[in-house]
Amino acid sequence: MSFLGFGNSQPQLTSEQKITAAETELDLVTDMFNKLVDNCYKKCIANSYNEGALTTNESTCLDRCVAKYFETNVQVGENMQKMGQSFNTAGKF
Amino acid sequence: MTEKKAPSTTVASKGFSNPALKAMGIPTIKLPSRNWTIFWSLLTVTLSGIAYDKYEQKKIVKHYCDSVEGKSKLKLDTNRVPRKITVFIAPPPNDYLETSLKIWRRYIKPVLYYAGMDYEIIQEDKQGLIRTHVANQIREIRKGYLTELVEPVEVPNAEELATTEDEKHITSISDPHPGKEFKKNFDYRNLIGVFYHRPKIEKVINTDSEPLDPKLAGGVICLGRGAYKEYINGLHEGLLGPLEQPDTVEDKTTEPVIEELKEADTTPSEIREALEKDVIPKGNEIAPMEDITTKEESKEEEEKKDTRYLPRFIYPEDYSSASISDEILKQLPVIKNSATGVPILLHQPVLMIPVPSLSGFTTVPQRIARFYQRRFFTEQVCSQVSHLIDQDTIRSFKDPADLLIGVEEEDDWPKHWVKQGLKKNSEWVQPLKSDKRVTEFMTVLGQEYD
Repeated sequence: MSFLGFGNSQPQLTSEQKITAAETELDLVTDMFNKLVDNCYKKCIANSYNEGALTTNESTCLDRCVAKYFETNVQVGENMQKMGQSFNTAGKF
Repeated sequence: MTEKKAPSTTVASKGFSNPALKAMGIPTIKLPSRNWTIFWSLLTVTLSGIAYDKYEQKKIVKHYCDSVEGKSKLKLDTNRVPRKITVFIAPPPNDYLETSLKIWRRYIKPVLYYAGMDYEIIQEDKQGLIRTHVANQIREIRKGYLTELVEPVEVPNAEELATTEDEKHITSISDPHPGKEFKKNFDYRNLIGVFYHRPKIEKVINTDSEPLDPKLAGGVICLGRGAYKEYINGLHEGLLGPLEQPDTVEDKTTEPVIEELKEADTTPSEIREALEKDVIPKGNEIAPMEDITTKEESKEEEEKKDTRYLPRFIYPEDYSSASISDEILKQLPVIKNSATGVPILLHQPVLMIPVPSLSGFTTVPQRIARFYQRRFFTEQVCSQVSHLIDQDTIRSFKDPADLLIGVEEEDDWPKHWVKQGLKKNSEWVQPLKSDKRVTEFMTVLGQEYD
């Protein structure tokens, strides 16, 4: 992002680094998914199991829960990135 | 010296008693003095009136929520999306959006939630945003149908041109973007195992796309007479107006608040008046004084504001000379959103809910009376919303009469605001005009209005 004149904008990774990066990314996504399922299950699915199918309310609740969770995750990630960048450029915490 | 003795007979103490009470040992019941009596009685009357009214409101909302709750307990398949109600919320004139939002949150939203309905809210804090939104939506659909009319020329890609096995092999190697196909189809869910047991949902069925009769699909709630007017204007503008903004469009509603601010003396009341001319609320949650600085700053951010508000593409005088374009005529009698299959807002039943909002000093007794009668208003609102949910009193739009739904709300509007609106040709104070070609498709909720 900063040294466009000298090299490429993105850091060149070796294929091993790319594989580990992909693995980390997969870990992150799986982790997020598991937490998402846990949290939305706790919040949305009622405790009475007189019916096996999801009711309308539970379905809409799940839709909204997933959307909010995802959006929050993305926002938090962006903010953390911004904080990380400013931390790097400023050089102090 | 003779001592002055107290008289032997004691004065009968003021109060109430009788032999039965005396026998039980209950002392005489004394009222406090006249002034205190008046004070306590007035206090109890006012507070108990408020408490009773609030208690009744809660009861009413709970009653309607319970009556509708059965719908939310029904099964919904995972490939389905529930019925969706579109809600347009506009603030009453000279007032904050919060007033309308309170009615939404307290009386309408619980009933919709307990019925298991999905809802989408479009709010506005200045005139014209709802109309722009509705008209833009219809224009998007028209543009979608217009591109379908033009047959897309199929450009055969390299794979299809290759006929022999060798040629096919060569094209796949020399494909300049080998990862493109993979990237397009990449989905984390395939890796994590979401579709390990259950197949992936390809097509989501919208409950609103199913009924054959379009008046049973979805629903529109207009909260406020201004929202209703803008909604109807938006429908006409979208269907009868041009697709692109005409060049000769003059925004007939005059604007400049900023010039008026410069001319007026910078006293708070005059600034507030000048602000009220253009923007309906005194400022969303910002005090009027702060609103001035945001107005001047927003001059630079005009682009950001402009996209939400567009001046009208067609005015009511031109409705009769306009014609519905071909792409729509092909789709009639039911115009559907091509992506979801849901009939557009035009066909969905519309419910208008008035927002009573009196302002002023001389109206204070009337406002107090309304405050104590609020339970009747909530009964009206909740019952209409539950009718919308049950879909049992939907009738077709009666052209001149149904434009006047909720016109009683306009009696509440402050007269000086209306006068200024007429001077500036603003949208809300104009009488509502309609065209039969559009209103023949509309449906309304409720009993006949005269």
